[in-house]
Amino acid sequence: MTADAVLLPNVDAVDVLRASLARDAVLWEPTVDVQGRCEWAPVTGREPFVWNAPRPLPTAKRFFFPARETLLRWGRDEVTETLPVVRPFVLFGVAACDVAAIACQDRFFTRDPYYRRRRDQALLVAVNCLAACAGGFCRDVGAGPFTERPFDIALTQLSDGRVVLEAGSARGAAAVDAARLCTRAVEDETRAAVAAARSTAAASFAERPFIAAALERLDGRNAGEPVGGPEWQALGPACFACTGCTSLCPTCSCFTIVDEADGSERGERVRFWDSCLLEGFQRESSGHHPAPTAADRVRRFWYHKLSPDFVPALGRIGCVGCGRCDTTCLGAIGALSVMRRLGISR
Amino acid sequence: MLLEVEDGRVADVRPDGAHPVARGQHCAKGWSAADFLRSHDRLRTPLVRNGGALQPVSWPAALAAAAGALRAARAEGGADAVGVVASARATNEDAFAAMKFARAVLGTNNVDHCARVCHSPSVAGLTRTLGSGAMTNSIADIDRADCLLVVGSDTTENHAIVGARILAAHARGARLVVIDPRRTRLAAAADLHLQIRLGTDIPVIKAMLQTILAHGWEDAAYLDARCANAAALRASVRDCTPERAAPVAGVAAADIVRAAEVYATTPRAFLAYGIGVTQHVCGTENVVALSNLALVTGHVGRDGAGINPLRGQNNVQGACDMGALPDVYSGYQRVTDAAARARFGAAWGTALPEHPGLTSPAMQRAAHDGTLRAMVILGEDPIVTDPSQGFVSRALGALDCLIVVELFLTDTARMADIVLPAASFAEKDGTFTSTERRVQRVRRALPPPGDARPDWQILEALAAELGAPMGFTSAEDVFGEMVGLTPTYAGISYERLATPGGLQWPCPASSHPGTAVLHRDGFPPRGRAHLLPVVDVPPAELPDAAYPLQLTTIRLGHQYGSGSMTRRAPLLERENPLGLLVINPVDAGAREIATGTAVRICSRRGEVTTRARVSDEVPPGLVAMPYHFREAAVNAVTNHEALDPLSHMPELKVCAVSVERVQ
Repeated sequence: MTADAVLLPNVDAVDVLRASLARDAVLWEPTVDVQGRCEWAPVTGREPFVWNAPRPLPTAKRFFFPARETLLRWGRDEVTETLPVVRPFVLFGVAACDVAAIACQDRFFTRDPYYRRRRDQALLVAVNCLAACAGGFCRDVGAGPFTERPFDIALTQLSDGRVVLEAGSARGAAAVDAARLCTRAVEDETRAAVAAARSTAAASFAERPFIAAALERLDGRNAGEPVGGPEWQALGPACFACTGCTSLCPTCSCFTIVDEADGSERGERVRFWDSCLLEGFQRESSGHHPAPTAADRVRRFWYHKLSPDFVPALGRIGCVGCGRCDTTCLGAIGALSVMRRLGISR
Repeated sequence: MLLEVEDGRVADVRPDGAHPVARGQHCAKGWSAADFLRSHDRLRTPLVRNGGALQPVSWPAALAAAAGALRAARAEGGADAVGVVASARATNEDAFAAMKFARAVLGTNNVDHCARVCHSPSVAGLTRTLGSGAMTNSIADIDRADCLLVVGSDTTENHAIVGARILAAHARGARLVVIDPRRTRLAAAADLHLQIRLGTDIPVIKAMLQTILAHGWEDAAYLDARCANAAALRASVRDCTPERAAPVAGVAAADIVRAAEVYATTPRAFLAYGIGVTQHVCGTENVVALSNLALVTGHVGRDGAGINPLRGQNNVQGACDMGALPDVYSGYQRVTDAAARARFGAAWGTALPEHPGLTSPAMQRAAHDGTLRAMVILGEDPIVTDPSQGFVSRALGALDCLIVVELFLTDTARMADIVLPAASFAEKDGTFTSTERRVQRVRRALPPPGDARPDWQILEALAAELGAPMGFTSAEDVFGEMVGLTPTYAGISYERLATPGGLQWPCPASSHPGTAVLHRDGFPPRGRAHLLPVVDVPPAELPDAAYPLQLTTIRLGHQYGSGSMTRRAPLLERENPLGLLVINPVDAGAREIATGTAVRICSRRGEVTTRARVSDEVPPGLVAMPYHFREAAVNAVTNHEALDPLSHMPELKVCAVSVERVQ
């Protein structure tokens, strides 16, 4: 928490902030429907904020990197780039894991104009998680439960209901100013309460020592105990190549480009989320395949997600501990399951 | 499945975390389910053949042409000179409207759909033995089972969510026994794989029964209290020892004994089977044999058990339930039952035909022979999916008029005289009934393209054009009429289907919670299940000197049916080559074939060329081909003449072929 964190006068001030943000932007929040599904949905900001909403199954990445996006249209004589025209929007209630993943995506898409158009219009309001969610392990991969930048605003609710607000960017600070909240400076006692909330949240996670053990084994700088072929061979048949993990993974950024022609000299170029677990992802036109078996592809995927070797490229390890892959994997080889096998198996 | 629509297009597809079966998961086809909707070649307007080519016309012109052709066919050949093939992909409302259209408007029971070529033997077999032809249990019962017996089903590829659940059950300690000629993913993971020779299910199952009865592993109390005809069954398998079955099936007698012991002596044993059981000349007998096995061991009517045909298409259970079959109305009420006929006739205000109609193979035969003059085919592509492509094209080509209702100009639609553009699942309201009898709502997420319409609306408009409107003004209207005539669905309404899980039939009253497990208390209609002796029936076409290999048809995890939808999804289409032949290294070596080699496959019906994939997933002597690819249509060589006498199921799983390297 930085020195310029402030205390909100009361919990209702959060709704004042939301209503203020909603005046000039589309406000999106994790919203629970009557069936218990949690999805990102547009809200007015006038309904009360749902603290502690469950983790939405879809990630926030689709706001910046849509599952299917038209890049350009062509006709007989012209090509038109279709850069998105995006209204300002606010993602209110982003969990620490998803903020950490957005940081990875920001690095990957630094020079991608389509991504930047959307990302530049977004204001991220993080809400720190006060307890571990079902299946989440952000603490053990350094992605939560309290958030780090690039949030614009972060909120922490204390056990007595008071809310501490931290602006993480100039835009965030301006948005807070515009809401005209009667904030107070944070005193030492509040600072201590935030630290206590952070410790309590961190302590709420199940102890999973196999995570550290698995990450260490996947570290290429470790000459000691690499993960051997047979362990991955055993995981290969469990992969159905369904594309679920890569679709829900907040840090996955692979795409393929498809030209959709309508047969009359017109068409559009579209990018689709791709998945490196598909056999066709890397098959070469000669038929040669650098990762010919499912085990090769499973190994490549998890190495990319879990190995410290990728920290220089991604800014952190590729997994943020959200647990979505464990929910959606048909073969029960999501991140936790894989690390359990690699970290305990011998 | 949740669709996210942006700017009139599906931007994303997500699994439903609140759904009791999906639980936040999809198969590969699910994640790409909406991509075909992007295709520029969706049919947007009716087409009528004019001067040899299909030309766009208005709906009134197309309907007038269609009605004229149907009238002419009936005038020349009577009501039974026309036939309707409904779709297992469309909604219950569409299927109900199709069967009403055939019976009440056209006046014929000639109505069928592609369950004929997937699970018609399950309906025929299980209806005779248990009184009901659907999964007796639910997918969630897999979680409660201690033994899983999987017969003739590549479950992880064709029913991925079910297959995943079976693998999870195995991982937590349930025993997994697989009977399959191929080494499927489940077979490779299983505790025991009986890799039987193609078409030897009956000897193996009878040997399992003989073993069970010889060792006293049967559930004697259950047999006494709940089954009929036990003595006859016992006598029929007395000599069917594992030692006799072993050389026929090509498996060890000891393995048959082990399979029998594990299945019979585990308290909760879930039997699942697929079209590896049904697509045989003895499909119904195969199903009855499995039914005998499940009943003798007392595994029907209990949690974590049951006999469970895995239905492949999203609504093939529903299309059967709706009576898109030549012998039954909705809810399997027989057209030969005067009371049922009177009830439907009264509701529809017309006299209904008394004799069962033609099955789809019989319609093709009648078309070929000139007695069937016109057909309406909705959302099916028999040129690609039905046996013996040459025969099917000759049959459809011989019709005076072929009317096809489709999303795309499929190979079958290309042959049509009139093509009517249909709405897809994402573009209409209605209900689907899943393999576990789960009735669920589908809601319109976006409008159909151009002038496309839901099947039921097209049929309603055509009925009106024929002067006999069916009176349907909404999907809910159709559902309401169906519910009033169908006791198993009587308690279901759109209002009650608002929850993501829907309701499982039977659901006879509006206060009834639906039924997860059938036959807990008895078997319809007489209370007792029926044990029926079965005789050994070898495949109709065995290998010989000219056609020395056996060919079986398979499905791939990233494709669906004729591929008209999945092949328009870029990730799915990229995943497989445009057809393939799986061949064992021994047979490949003898023919100088390697993976990627171009090969020609010939049978008595025809020939097809594709590329080889050398794999020990099939044993020597057996080759396998998927049927999704029109460029390499396995149905050019399959056998349309060998039909299961009871269900008219063609023997799609077995024919004799030769394979050679293309020089």
